[in-house]
Amino acid sequence: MQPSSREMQGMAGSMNGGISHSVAVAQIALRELQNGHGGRQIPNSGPQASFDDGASGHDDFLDQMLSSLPSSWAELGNLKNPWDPPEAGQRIFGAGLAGETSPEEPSAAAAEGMRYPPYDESSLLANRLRQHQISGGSSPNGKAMMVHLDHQSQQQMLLPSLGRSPVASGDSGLLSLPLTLGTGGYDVDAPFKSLNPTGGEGLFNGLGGPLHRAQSAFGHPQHQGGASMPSQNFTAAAATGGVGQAASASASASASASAGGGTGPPRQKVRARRGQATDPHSIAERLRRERIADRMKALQELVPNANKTDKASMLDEIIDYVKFLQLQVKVLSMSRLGGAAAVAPLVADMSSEGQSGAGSGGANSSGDTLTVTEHQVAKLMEEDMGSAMQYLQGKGLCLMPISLASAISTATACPPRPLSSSSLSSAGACHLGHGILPGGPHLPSPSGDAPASPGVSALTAQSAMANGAAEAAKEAVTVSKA
Amino acid sequence: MRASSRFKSVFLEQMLMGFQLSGFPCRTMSLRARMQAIKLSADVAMAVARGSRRWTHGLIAHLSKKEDNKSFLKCILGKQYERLTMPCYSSWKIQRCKTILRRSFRERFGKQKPAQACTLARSLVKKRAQVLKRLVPGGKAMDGYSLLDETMDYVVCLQAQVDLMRHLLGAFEASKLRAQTKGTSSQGRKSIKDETDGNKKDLIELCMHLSDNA
Repeated sequence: MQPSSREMQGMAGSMNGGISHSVAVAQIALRELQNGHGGRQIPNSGPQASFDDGASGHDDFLDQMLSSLPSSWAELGNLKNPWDPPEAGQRIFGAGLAGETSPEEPSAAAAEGMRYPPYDESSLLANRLRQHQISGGSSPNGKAMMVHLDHQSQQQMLLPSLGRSPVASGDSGLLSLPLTLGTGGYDVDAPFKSLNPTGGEGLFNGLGGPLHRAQSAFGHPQHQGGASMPSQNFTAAAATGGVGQAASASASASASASAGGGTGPPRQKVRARRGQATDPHSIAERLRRERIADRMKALQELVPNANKTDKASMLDEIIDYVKFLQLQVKVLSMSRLGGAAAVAPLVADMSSEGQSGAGSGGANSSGDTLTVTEHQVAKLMEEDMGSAMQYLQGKGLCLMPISLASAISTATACPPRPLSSSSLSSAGACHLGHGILPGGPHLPSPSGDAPASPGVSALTAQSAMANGAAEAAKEAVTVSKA
Repeated sequence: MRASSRFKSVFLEQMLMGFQLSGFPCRTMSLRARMQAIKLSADVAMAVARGSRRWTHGLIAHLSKKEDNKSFLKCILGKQYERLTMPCYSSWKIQRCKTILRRSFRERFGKQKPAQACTLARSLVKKRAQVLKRLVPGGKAMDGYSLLDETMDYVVCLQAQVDLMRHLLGAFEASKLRAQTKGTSSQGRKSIKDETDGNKKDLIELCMHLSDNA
């Protein structure tokens, strides 16, 4: 191990160097244990001994690792970002950890990691990341290393629950892990390298099979350790019951999480992050709620007047707007009859006469078409004033009060043609953009005769001008909004 | 979120084609029939222009339920007609299952603590979601998230439809005016007919121009 410890002298040591550094520490500690030193002294002397060799960056890093071991669990959850959504990863992590723990202490090991509430996490995470960057290793490797160490601590957690190990505290418990790690006498780097992906996967893929795989993967270097065998069987057994454990663990975790604050070392329970549960069902719920919230936000931009924060009122606005748009389409398809009449010669095969004649033709053939028109208008006025207006406008007519009509008829007797056309054109100025202007120039010519103007006046209604028609049309469109 | 220009051009083309198919020269059509024909071609044009979405399928299915529309739809949609109007058994089943569940829950639980705030809010939202499901075509078979998704798409397309129809109307009026001023001087139908194809393109261009500027 000497060459490996020398490797790590430089600040820019790779993460593999870091890994081997930690393993070196572990093995040194192991040797000291085997030499019969007190287990208690080792955490202090061992790492420090190698720390003298190592670079300062590694010192800080490992120091942190060793001292903040339990919180590394939470940080591990945080650092899973590249591989999983952080929350989900953390939850799965918590669930996985819960699954691995013993039945007696349902949330023993995993809680250890989650024990430290979120207020520590961010600072620790920042430090951790800084250390990673300083040491210059690739982040996955770093995380994998943390994975391993956490698994080690996990194993260590199980040992106390088994009542096996001489160590009780979390920190010193790390030493028994090197025990299991180093006893194999394996090549230091290889198992780690091979385990990196599987360990990571095992941790991050959640309960069940992958967990088995991770456990079995770790079983290899550890099978020689005395503590490892039962622990492995134990965790395997625990993993099968893991799902049930997760539920109870999360229940207890949420209960304990609400209390807040750190607990003493002997209490090892899963504590989820504040305000979050580890249940996969609630994960799905949360994801679904977030997606719905995204959609509501997007809809808020589309729908006018959508500054409501409430979901129900937001839905109200959406419903109103959809109804309004549908009504607008309906009104437009009605009002385009004048335009539709114009479409025919422009688009279809023209077998009938040219449309230029049709507008005046409608006005010319006064007798029957007017009565038909009158019936139509009467029918329309029953349902909707605006549509009646539009129908007339499509025909080149307008509605006006009798007094105005009589005024016009008297005016047209002495024909100031601009007057009548201007009045009609002002009447034609309509919000919906289709005026009676095209019909306008044609209308005065027959309206110079008597029958046309009474025809016009016969169609009077309460609204004064076609401006009123515009208002009514607007109202027809906007009445649904009220 | 705005509809793409491709949507607009396809919509306009389809709508004009629909007008052609409906045979507009017959002026004996009543007001209602004409309105329905225009609305039909507008809706079909919107559905075709949008492509394949759940609400478009729902819309076409809804339109094809009426006997009168079937021939029109067959002409416009061509080969896709058969595929699009196939009854979707899955959506039917979902609706049926939901109603059965709802009924059974009602029988079992009756009136349970209506005063709870969260359940009250949830029931309000539920009611509104049901109304929305009725409004959006094909909405009955959708769950909450996809309902909102389809609503958003539908609203965008409706807005574009209203916009385009308004501009089309304006373009028609303009061209009608032009035709009338020209028509008095021009000779016979043939010239008008020659103008039709050119006018069609002009109309589309004019509409696009107007809608883009707006």
